[in-house]
Amino acid sequence: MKQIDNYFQKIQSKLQTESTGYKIDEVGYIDEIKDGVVVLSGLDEVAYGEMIEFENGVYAMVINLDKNKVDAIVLGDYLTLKSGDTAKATGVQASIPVSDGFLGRVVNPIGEPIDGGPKVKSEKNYPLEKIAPGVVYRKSVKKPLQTGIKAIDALIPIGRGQRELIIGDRGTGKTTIAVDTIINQKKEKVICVYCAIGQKNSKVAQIVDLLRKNNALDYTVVISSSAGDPAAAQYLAPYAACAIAEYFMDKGKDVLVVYDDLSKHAWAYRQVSLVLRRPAGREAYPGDVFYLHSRLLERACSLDDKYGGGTITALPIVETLEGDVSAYIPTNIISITDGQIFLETELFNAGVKPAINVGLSVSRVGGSAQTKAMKQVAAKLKLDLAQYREMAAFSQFESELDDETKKFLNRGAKITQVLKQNKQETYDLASEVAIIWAATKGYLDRLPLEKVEEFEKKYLDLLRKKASELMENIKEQRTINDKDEKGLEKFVKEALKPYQTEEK
Amino acid sequence: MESKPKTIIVSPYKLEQADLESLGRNFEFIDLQKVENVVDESLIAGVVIKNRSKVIDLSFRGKLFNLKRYLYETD
Repeated sequence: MKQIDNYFQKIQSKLQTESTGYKIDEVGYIDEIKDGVVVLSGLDEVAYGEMIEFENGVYAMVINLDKNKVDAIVLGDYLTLKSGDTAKATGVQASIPVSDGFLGRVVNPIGEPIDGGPKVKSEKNYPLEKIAPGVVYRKSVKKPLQTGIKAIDALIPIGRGQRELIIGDRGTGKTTIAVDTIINQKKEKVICVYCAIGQKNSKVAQIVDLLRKNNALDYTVVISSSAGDPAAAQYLAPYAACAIAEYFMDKGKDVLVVYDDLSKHAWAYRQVSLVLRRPAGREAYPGDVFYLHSRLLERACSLDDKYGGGTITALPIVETLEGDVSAYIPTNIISITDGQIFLETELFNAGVKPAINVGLSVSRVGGSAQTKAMKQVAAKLKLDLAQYREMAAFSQFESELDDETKKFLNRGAKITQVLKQNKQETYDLASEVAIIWAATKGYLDRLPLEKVEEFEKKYLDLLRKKASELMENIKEQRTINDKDEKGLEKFVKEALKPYQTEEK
Repeated sequence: MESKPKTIIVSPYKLEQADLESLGRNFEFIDLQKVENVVDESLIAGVVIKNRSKVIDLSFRGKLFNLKRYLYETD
């Protein structure tokens, strides 16, 4: 009985406090419904990008304003609508509710939970479309974002506030790199947002499961609009992810956003534009497909300390066909981002995983976002790898080469082996520095290639167990001084011992 | 074109001229020459005033609908 009394009280208080003022609603009527787009008449004073609501609770976003009609894309099941239905303007721009309660949840682009849990309570709404912070609000990218992947942290370092594109054919490990980066942020206090656009539901479920198993879901928000969702939802998903990221950035936090993937985003936008009868351009994409991505990626930035000092790092993923990076969408996004990580099928099939083409991958922020320790060891690494690539063609004539060339080839092969890594096995900074230091100093040169992986495990194990102080030093100071080098040398020699006896 | 467009007033029963006049006094955009009175019993009580794309819902049905939404969302 008490419950009901409660309700009665609530109803009474609401009815009594409600003033006798009246509200003027802006209404429109559906004339046509076309594949996720509704054409309405009426709605004379509605703004572009405003949300409108139908009688059955379905929302739509206004996307075209014509003299006598208004087009809106439906964010929900458009099959429940029929011609003649009334739509009311809500008066608010398309926005998503934001709060700390979203961490650990899987939601759709309008903030509704799709992981079976309760609705997330929130007090604020952040707009989906926002002008990116201007030049005055930003500061240069200085702090590194540790991905835990040796090849990336050493050669293509990513800083907080940077946009780094992950590009490659299907099945080359793009999502794996992004997910491993998310998993590595466990101790780094970086909030992660994973945006799945047009992905298979099974893949999203797998990723959420993976994150949960690795205890990464607690600091991650997953926004998903899968392949079965209407194109409008897929079009808005990345902007929703960016809005949530901005909420955390405004609180001064560092955020990592992964857009998986923007090719499918462009397809969804193309579908919406073609249904709206907008003129088709190259490859049938609308004329503003560049702006579609540039306004999204420009919102990833590093704010000045005056404005909180938060950052958003964006890792957009683009899928190429047959390695064609000169296609329309890949070239667009390459010109927007601050660098790219190229993944190649050939390297993947040859067993080099992650299949990163170090020659073509670049990070335009580069060394300014690397710790001193890593910079010290990475410089030599780059040089050795470059020389290896030069000589790679000669590796077939192994027996007829002079010693110098053989040395380069050997060193390069060992380094390539060291840069290989299993998925979901991320390395902390000190381990990365230690193993790359060992490789570039030449301690692996006499080791047979098949034993390198074993050696690495043993070496890092030793360091973890017996040299925790040394590793802490490298991590804290972020440099290696001579004392550290001597310490590392000791452990390298110890780890090499069993292999040296084999050689004899 | 027209100084004030046509207004449709929906009510649960046919309204007298006096009622229409009092409505016209409270809402200036109603042009009394061009009012059309439509009867719709599902309103239960109150009126709904429609003018071009603007709607003012003062009906009991509308208030019940809002109440239902409010209760549902405050769960």
